Amino acid sequence: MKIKETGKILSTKKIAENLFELKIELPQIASVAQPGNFVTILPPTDSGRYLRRPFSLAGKGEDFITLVIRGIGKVTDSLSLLGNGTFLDIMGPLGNNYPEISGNIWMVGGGTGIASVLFLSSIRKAAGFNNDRLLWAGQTSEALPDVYPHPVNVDFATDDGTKGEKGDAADVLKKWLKTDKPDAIAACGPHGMLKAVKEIGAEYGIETWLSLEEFMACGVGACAGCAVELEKGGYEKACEDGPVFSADRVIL
Amino acid sequence: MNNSDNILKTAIAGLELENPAIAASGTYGYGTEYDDFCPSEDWGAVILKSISENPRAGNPPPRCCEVESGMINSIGLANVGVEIFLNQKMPEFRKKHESSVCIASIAGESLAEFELLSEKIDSAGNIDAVEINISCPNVSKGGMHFGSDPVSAGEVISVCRKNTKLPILAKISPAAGSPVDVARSCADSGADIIVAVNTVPGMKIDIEKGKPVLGNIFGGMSGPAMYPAALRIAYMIHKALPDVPLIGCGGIDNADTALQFMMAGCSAFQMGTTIFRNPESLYTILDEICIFMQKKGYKSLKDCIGIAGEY
Repeated sequence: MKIKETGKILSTKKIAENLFELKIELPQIASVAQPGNFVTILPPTDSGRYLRRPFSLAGKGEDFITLVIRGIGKVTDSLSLLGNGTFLDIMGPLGNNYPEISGNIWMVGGGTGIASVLFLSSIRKAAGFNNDRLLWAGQTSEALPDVYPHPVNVDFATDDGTKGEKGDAADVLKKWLKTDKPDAIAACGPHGMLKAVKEIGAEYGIETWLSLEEFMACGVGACAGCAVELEKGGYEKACEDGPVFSADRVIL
Repeated sequence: MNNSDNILKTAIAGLELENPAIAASGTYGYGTEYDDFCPSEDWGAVILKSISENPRAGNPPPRCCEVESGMINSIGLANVGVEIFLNQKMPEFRKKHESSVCIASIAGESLAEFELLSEKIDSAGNIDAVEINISCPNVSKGGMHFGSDPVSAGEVISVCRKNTKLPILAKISPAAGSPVDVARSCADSGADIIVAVNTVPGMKIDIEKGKPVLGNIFGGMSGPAMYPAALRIAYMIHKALPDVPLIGCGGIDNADTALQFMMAGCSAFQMGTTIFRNPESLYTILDEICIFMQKKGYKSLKDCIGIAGEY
């Protein structure tokens, strides 16, 4: 069941340079949303934009959801400036979700791609999985929060070494793999990062799940605009068949 | 919806529609994707995604992008092919939506493919009409190439007419040299309804990367920015061919523009890109049309269809 619901912004918190966490009262969607799902938001009028924008859920409570938004255009800039109490037109939960995995997962987020793995990690922690790891990668320390209160410990990595491990997400995963190995990897972030994570999954024989970010028009499987290229040939839709795909199925 | 007196009912070429709003092909999937938001029963009719003989993968991504007050798409007629459409998609649709007015859209690369498609759609038995897509800008063969001149457009319609008794809608391109001549040829060749118009060919360039945004380079532009261009063509066609049933399409996302198309001579109108933005715009538009009609004292849509054509 997909729902269209008016959400009320409860808080907007700047968590890093140009990175915002929005908490939105959205009881119906929150009650059914799962990690991997996304919502689409009607652009605020002052953005001058037309099509709804997709955002992966970063978490939920009983009657609210959280999103992590980076200001990269008119819609996200506008959303980051909205005050508490502002109403938003939201559709969701859309798309599939991460599969249930009984073993340990290493979760990797790059940029706003952190959203879906934040959600996944908190849900798994609540379900009793205590040996997952969570890596939040960014180019510099400015792109990452100083501290991020979260039920699961967050490890950080930066390209320039200004915060956490030095190196990109793939470098850190490889370092971790020298001493340990998870049952699965879950990742969301820029295409380059996902490509590297996919290669690591294949090289080490680890089940790997990627949440893909594509431009979408409808978000519900009607327009076929968000095509993801498949290894077997042809395409699937990020909005309906994804956004979470088994890494070995997709071409990045 | 404020349609208690059925003032929104409209009839076009034998199709009885509860209201004049029709979901445009390519924006409403195979008819069930929007069930939770604007199900097919609430539309006058829904037109499903264009179908070809064989499944088509579609164009390389990115397939769509936003532009000022609209978007450009280059989906490339990605579809499941006519066999899966008839054996799987249509039964799935009819199981949930027995009584909705459902129009199939067909897109061939050759006259032979149009012949086969129109025959198969005709014999399906659960489809109310067929729209002939001779105006898709996103394929290398067929599509807009058929619809760009009156002779080839007429040939496609003739072939389909021989194979089906269903009402035929001919959806024409705004990029045709003379859309009026294409419309006339389609009507003369047996089209029951002209749909004006499909998307406007266009493109977008990413100035940071210095390259076209769409994988296919070119696409079809849609959304409210195109409505004046579409409206002009609809108006011209109605002036030239006043007896040919006409459906407006192009950038309609509010009651004002919908009414403009009807006053230009359209008996119904298609909505597309606006569904992506807000699937519930269907209800807003129909409500506002009702309010406008009551304010003007119109008893039925006939009181406004074509009235601007006198000028």
